[in-house]
Amino acid sequence: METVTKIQDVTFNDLPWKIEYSPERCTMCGSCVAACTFKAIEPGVERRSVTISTAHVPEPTQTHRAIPVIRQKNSAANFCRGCGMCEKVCPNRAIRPVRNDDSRLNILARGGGNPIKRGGRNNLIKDRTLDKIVVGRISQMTDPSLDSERHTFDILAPFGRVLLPGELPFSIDDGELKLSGWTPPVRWIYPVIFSDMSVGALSTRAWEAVCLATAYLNERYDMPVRMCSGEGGMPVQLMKSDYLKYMIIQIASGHFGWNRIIKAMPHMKVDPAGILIKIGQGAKPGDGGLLPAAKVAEHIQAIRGVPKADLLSPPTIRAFTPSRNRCRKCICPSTPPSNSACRSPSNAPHLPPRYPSTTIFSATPIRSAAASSSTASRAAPAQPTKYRSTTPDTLSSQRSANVTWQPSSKAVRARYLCGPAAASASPATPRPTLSR
Amino acid sequence: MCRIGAIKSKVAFHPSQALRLMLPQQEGHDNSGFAMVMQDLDGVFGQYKDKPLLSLACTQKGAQMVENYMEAHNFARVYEWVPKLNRKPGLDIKAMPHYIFRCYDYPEQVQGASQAAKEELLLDTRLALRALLEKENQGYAFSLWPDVLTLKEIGDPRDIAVYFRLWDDSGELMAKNVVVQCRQNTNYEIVRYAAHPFFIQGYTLCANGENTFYTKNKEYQKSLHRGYIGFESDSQNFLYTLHYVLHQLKWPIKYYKHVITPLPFEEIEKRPDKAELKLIRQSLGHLEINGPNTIIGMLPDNSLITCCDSKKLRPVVIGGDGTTIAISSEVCGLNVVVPDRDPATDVYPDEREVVVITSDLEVQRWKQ
Ligand code: SF4
Ligand code: SF4
Repeated sequence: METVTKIQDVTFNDLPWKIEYSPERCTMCGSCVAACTFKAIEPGVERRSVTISTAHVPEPTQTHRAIPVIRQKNSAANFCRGCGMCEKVCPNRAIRPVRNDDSRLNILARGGGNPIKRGGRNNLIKDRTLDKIVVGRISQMTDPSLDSERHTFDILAPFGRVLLPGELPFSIDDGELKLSGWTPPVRWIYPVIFSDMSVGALSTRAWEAVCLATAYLNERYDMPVRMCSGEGGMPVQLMKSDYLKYMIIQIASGHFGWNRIIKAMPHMKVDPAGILIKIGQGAKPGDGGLLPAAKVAEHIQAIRGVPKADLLSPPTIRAFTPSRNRCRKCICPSTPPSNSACRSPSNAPHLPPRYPSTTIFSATPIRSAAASSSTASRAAPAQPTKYRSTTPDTLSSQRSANVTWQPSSKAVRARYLCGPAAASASPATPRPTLSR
Repeated sequence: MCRIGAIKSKVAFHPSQALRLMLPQQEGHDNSGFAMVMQDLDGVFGQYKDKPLLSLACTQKGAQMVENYMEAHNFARVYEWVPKLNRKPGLDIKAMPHYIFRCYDYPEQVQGASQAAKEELLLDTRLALRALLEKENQGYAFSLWPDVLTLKEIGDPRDIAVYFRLWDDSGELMAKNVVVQCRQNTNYEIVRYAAHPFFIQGYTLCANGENTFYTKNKEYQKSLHRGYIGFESDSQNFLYTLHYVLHQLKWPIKYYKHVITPLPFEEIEKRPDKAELKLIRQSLGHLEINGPNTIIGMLPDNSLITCCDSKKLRPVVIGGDGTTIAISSEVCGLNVVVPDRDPATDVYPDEREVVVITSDLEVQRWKQ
């Protein structure tokens, strides 16, 4: 029980300054405690392991003794400010404050002074994005430049997989570079996108408004901006729309709505601007996201293809997370056989066994995950009626498709990409098959 | 602002010609430095054309460190030319204690190696020497390359010339090509490595201007090649791009301009080679330059190249008389070194133009 109360406490490691104290120099004069205006230190008694020798010849023995000490208070209200008063008044150089690089004070402050009670996040990343931004000078001679025309440039950025210059499939023919191979499609867009707010978590009005804005900027003002769907799937009507070309479809750890996306593919008139495979949960590193059941309204169930239930997005896509250590943080149906070598992420034999949701282009990720994972209650059969009533079209097409999951077969994956009709011809090895 | 120039001739000439090219332009520079790279040498170095030539300015200790390094790496000294310095009082020059111009034999282990292997060795050796000298602040290794000599110093170009006796035309130091710059110290601290022309593996370049994409170019170039270091000046970006496009990617020379000042998208769309141009823009977008600039480059085959920024904010003029061709920031320089030319044939390249002067003095020009 003691442990339970302790983990609720603030520790002095949470605080920005730590007291470095040498009990062997300290004479317990008390000056430091008296000098500290912040009441950051206090006298106390600690039971310590000490080595003593009391005989005439050295006979060191180890023992435990209660000894008086000066110690730092574990209190956010009385945190040490590093003013150094204690150090100045100490006659024996026994005490001084040292900066705690790994202070968690800002996390404490965010939580209203509450200590961190769960793992998953740290505060150890010292170089922050803002520290890494390099601001180049605009001009060495004319700073600011004499006339803005001298420094105009295109702001378009390539969107897509840009090849390294050495990889470009060029051949040289009569002093000219000739394209002699395939290159991935790339579009030139403003380096600004509506970022991944999950369409499958917003109200219909909200996502429609942003989609309209994106299409309007492109069509009316010729401003090539794009919008990302976020990880909650795509509405079928948007998949069928001409404006899909301005959308970046995202797949993330939860694989939400991807069976619907795959099934809508035969009805697509244009290609989307891109597919974004999100490897980790950017906004909630280490924790993953949770959309509570209360927010999973009917339109969201329809987009994501799920019943009303808590929807968890694991912190990482498991296919990309071979390390057992990291895997354990997400909801993991099974663990690797051996404990020993899994610290090495490159150690293939210790990869967790593959389970369905690791296949990116799987047609039935949600269903198969549900079948294999006791924790994922997304397709809980307890609510089939409601589920069916919200998405009659999609459901019936699923039924007829009778899609099976087979992770390692490229052929099957290819078939999924070709749409339901082709998929129905897939081999009859129904490892988790649709159960309805 | 700096002033830049280059002279290419069928007959070898003295460095005093380079000074004559630059001194009339001194309203455009402030006499704070002089630097030149000579290629296709004659005079004392004429008979060592295939031997790597080290150009060095250093302290006594630095000279010793370099000697030890070269010995330890099996470079055998073949010939050394020590300039007879004129230490006349009152000269405006921040001279180094020693200037060393020394030819070496390739180490035995690469004697039979390919040209590429030798080039890599020379680059690595120069980088090592530079690091060695830089660590202890004992000097500057400017170039190590066959048939290429670099001289850079801080001070008034006229006084620098007196100090090195460049006015004497003694026949010792001669070449058929020179690229030269007189600098204006702007808001930089004066560093010898920041003085153009810059050199890497047979490619020499100097520039007049300010590259406002310096940071973007630099961050990308640092990842491209181990030799892309220093970045004391924003004009090094142009050299490294020139080297990258021609030496690393082995693309034809016309694509250099497409990399540093790509065409606007509307123009690319109208061209038959739009697929290629768009790919170049995609993959090498970080090498695009911006701001007012002109560059003069000298290539391993002794040809010269010049082009400017996409708005022609810094011009150059090219003129010649059949034996000698010069490129200069200002026409007053040309008037001194090629006085008998027909000025009507002078070329003022525009913002989309590239001019190449081939090794047999043919002037090629084309639109990007
Ligand atoms: S450094 Fe200042 S705030 Fe911290 S314990 Fe000492 S006296 Fe108190
Ligand atoms: S002032 Fe120094 S000696 Fe006195 S109690 Fe504090 S730490 Fe100990």
